[in-house]
Amino acid sequence: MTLLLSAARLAVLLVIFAVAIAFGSLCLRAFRARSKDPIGQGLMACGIGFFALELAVLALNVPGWLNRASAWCVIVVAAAIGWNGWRSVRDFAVSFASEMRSQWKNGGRAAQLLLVCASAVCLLEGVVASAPLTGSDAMHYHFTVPRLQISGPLQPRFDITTSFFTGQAHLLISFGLALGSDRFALGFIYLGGLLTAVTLYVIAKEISSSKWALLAVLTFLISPMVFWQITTSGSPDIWMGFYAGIAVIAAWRALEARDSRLAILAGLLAGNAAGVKYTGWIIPIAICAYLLMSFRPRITAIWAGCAALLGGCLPLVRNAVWTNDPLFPFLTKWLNPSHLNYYVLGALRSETHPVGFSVAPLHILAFPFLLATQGQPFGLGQYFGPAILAFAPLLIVAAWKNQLARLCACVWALTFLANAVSTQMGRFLLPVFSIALALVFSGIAGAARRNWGQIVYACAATLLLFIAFSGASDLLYAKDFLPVAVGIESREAFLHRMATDYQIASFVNETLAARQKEQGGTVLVFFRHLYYLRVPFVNGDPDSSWIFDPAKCNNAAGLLQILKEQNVHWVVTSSEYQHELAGAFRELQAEGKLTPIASRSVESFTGDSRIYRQTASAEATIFRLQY
Amino acid sequence: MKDRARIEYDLVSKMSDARPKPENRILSYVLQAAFLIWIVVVNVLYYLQFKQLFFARFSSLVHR
Repeated sequence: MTLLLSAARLAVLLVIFAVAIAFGSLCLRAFRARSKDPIGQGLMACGIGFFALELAVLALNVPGWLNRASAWCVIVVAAAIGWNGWRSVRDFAVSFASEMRSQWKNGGRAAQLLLVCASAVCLLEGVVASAPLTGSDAMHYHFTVPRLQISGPLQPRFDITTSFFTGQAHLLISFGLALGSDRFALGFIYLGGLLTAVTLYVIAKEISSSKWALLAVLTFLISPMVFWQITTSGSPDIWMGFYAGIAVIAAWRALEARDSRLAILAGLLAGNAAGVKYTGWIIPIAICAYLLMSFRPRITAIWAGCAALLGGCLPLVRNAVWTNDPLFPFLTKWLNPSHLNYYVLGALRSETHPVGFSVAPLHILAFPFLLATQGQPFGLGQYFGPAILAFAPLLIVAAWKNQLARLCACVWALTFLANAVSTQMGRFLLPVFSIALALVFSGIAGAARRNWGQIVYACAATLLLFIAFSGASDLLYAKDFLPVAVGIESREAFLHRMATDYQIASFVNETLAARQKEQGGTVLVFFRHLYYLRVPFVNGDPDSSWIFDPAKCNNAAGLLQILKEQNVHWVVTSSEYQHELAGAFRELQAEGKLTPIASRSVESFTGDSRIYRQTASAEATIFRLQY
Repeated sequence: MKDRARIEYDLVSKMSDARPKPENRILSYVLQAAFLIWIVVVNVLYYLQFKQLFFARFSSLVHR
């Protein structure tokens, strides 16, 4: 039954995917932007279609009209408007199928094995992605914020500071949730991963060869970073990878055909990559810079830049309206200094920078090596595998005569440099991982063309070792998710076992749901993973809540004032009060304003990652607050 | 006779063009050796970072 439900959800996702291509094709036709390759054309249409879908979701989200009925209406209306574009869906499917068939027939045993392995990895990833949401950042904000925002008119959530980091791809999560399940939203993320793999195939095939392109796709899909990101993480960052890939393809086609419209389209698609996350803005900058150098007339690059701004500005406009800072909270110090919370800003900085962060020239030079060989502190850079660093020297024999290779190098180099001088977090390089892989595979193909047999064997051995290592790691990781995905384990038991803070969230739901309905009010919580809370809550963790600034809550009166403003009726603690606010809370307790009403022993994961299986028990207590 | 000498000269010069020049061949070998060493070193360093995880997994398997 569980598998049948998952298959039904997959069918719905495929319908939405087809509608996106049909609608996007119509938009491309209206804009008269045409690429000669049907797969590339289909991918660009899909990108435009999903952008249009995001705009529709936002339009429904602002007044609070996004729900299951309106979500289905969007699909039906888009399918009807895009009726004339349905031929493009068929063209895309037929071209892709014939490409794979030709690989199977003409590629020999190696290509057949690669196709089988890539399909098996896709299948495993699809099954794991159908498990309920347990990703840490997703349960803190990627899914929590869209869930809160679809239940009413769009409003800022200052208690979850990272809510201002949600971008355009989060609208797909909102859409999935509106369709009735977080599994739809996880399905969109999985779909983004598959689409990114197809863009990688198109790019790698052009600058290396069909066989190397297949191997690049398998390396991409099986790498622990991609496996984690498109299955259980619940983060929509992979959509940046898709938009970056199709923006590169559109810019390359524009350069080939000297077509200004395709160049502007490339800008719009790159803007969509930027609309997912602040760090993505380097992608349109890199693509427009390359167009400025290589495309004539140069004014086209300026138009492409304007299109990029248009394509990715929605989160910036939203943040500017709500906070006067489009990149909230990073420019608040200058744009809105009276509302600055130094404590959260410091916490965010430490969360997005590794311990050894430095912009010293020697450290920047060492960064590529540290990222691959000591990746844990550098945003899990080791999850990408050794391929990029190991094959990087082969770039001297890459297909540099090909415009696409030069464009990829420009995008990769600028993105990597921006990462090295700003955050040094490997995870943030995911959007250009596929582009970097395509480039280094071009180097391997160059070595093969020069008959450097030993080098090619060494590369193949490196890849085989990595594929075996990653395959084993992925299977080991998937083991915890497969029972619930295939229906052997119940959702409740799985979440109890795997979702951090689920036990305390369930305790709060069970204890307060009825009381909250009767009395109203909100509950103040300090734990990080908020997605499964089903009562109105306020996040009180000073590390992530803009509202609970320790500088303002350092005494009982100041704290009480804020609690009153937030209409807090209950406070939930886990063993101890949050240490930054402990003094003020103890004062309130001594004054008799906090009375314990229920407590339970709960267990949860601790440490950096649940893969280390470190758990800790705590006594969760709910206090009634009296003013 | 003159023509034959001309043909032989052309043939020899073409053959020498087809063969990689000695200095290029040496450069190519040096490059290949350097790439090979680089690839091996990166692989060793890459997998070394997981040694603690491997040991932890292995010991948990043994203790089970």
